[in-house]
Amino acid sequence: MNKLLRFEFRRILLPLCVLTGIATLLFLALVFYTDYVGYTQRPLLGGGFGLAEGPKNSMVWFPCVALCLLCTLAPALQFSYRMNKRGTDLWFSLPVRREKLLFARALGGLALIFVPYTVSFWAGIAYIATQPNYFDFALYAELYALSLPLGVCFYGVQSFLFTRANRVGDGVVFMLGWLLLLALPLIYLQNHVTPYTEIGAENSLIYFTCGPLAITFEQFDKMLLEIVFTLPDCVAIAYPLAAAEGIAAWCGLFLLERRRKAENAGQTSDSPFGYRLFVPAYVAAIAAVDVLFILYVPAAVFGLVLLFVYRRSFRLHWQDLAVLAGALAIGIALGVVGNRL
Amino acid sequence: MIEVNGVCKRYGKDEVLGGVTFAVPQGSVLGLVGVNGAGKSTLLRILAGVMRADAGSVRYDGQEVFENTQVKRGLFFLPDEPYFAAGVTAADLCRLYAAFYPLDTAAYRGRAELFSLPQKKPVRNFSKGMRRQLFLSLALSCRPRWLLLDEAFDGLDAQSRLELRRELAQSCGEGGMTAVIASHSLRELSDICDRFALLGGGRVQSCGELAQLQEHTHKFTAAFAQGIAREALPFPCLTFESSGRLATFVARGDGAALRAAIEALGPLFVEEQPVDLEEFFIAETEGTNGPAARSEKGEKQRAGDGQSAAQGEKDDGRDGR
Repeated sequence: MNKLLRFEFRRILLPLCVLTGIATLLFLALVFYTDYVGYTQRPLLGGGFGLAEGPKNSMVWFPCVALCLLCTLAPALQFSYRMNKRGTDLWFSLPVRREKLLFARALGGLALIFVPYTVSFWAGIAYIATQPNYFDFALYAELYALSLPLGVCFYGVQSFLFTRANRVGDGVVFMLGWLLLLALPLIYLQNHVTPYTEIGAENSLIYFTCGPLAITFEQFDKMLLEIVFTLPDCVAIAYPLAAAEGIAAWCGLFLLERRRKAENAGQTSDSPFGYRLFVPAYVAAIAAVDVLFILYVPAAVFGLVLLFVYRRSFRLHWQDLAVLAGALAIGIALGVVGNRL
Repeated sequence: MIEVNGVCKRYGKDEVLGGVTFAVPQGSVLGLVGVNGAGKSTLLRILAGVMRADAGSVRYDGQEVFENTQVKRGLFFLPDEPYFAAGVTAADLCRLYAAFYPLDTAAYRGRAELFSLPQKKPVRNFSKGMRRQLFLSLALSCRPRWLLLDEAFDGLDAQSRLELRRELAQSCGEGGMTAVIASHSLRELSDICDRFALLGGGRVQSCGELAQLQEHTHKFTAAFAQGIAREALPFPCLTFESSGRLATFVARGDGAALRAAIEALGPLFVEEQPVDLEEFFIAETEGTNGPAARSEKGEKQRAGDGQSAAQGEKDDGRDGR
């Protein structure tokens, strides 16, 4: 195992250095050209208004975007070895158990995410600290600490989704497709049902795969800018959900590894976590937005495009068209029902 | 010893292997032959533990291979198109295999020097033959107990073939290595292998020792004053080709008895020639549309001997089997 890990870390050394360099240089370039002191008009005691200095541009959006991108890139870099015949011929014939290989690759992926993230995060924050500012730097440390487990969970989810596919392109589509899939029911309710229309957008963001990370960074941004001082109530759902998703994904990744068939590499991605779910879910969701004929066309076109990508051909099975038609009909029905609520 | 017992494999509804059974004694070299799509590569991938058989077992010295690291430590699988990542050099591949196998780096360097393989150049820039040299060098330097090769000598020049065949023979002879080689170059296999297995229709159609095959299968060239038709021979032929007075045919049975039967027809001369794996393979796999069938049919038409083409087609292929 040690030999395997040594080999793995040597293998990823170059991409690790490249990713770390890119992330750090980008963040430093951004923080270099940013001001951190803002001015707001405040009423003076003697009457009238004066300018008061305060914090501005916490720059936490960059680590947030970097972490989400790295969590999506790492599975594609680390698990694509099993998505072509030649790769499986090599890696599955080597004297190493598949779970151990997966474990080594997963650890390598963690390094590919958290080394560039950590180095860029602290390099940027260190530069900000040298500039005039009003930030409470303990909040940056808290944010960093909180982002690590959330990042591990998100990486687990992305890895699980990516590895359900049989081709790299499909794996990327699976990760993107799940981004807002769980939020679709709430988005539907927010569109149509009165009590839900009044709740904030962050409530649907909870159910995005990257939602807990995004909410955390957004909230710390507000806290650093002294707009709010505590985390929002929605984290009571978001964090347990992120933990549950992460644990389920990591367990699924390892438990299902033995059942993976090498002969499926490069074949059509038939996983129920992929196109077979996306086509009906998204077509119905788009068609259900409102009772408008103009909506049904893009819904059907979107479904068709997904099916073409799924089958890698313009020749579709009759079952595909039946699913598409069924999803469209359900979406229209949901739209009609929703409009009456 | 490698024991393959009732191995079945399906890709969806298509049955690729339908109960393959054979055994390879330790120290032997088995040539795995079969027409395109016979399932040779699939069988090799199952033998390598890359894929799991739907039914049946593959055992190395009595141990199942799938997910068995102990067995796989002594097993090296070299597919027809080995994997290498973009930008990977020969030195990188050497490090990769050294992490998993007891790679003899000195032996590897010796082979790399022999073939003048650059160590720092990306493998993607290697020619097909150089890649083959590199991977075969790595495979032999890992000193496996069992070596599985798919299209082993594809793209190699004559000198490299000779060198690698010599090394392979040495590893099997002195080192006790067992090799299974799937190849279309049957003449090459006849030179290296001591055993063969012929895959067809998802099953082993024929297998055994090459020497035994040569003992029971005989190839004769005979000349007759008036030429001879296939049906005039008093035994069934696996293949039959005639050109004027000369006829060449392959038949199974006792060599002396076959020769006596030919002698009884009063030939101008009769000569027995060694049967190689390729001829045996063609004889076993060729249907009515095979090259020999076409050749005989053409010959008959050219000779204008009055026999119909339909008759010629009827007689071709595996008659009498």
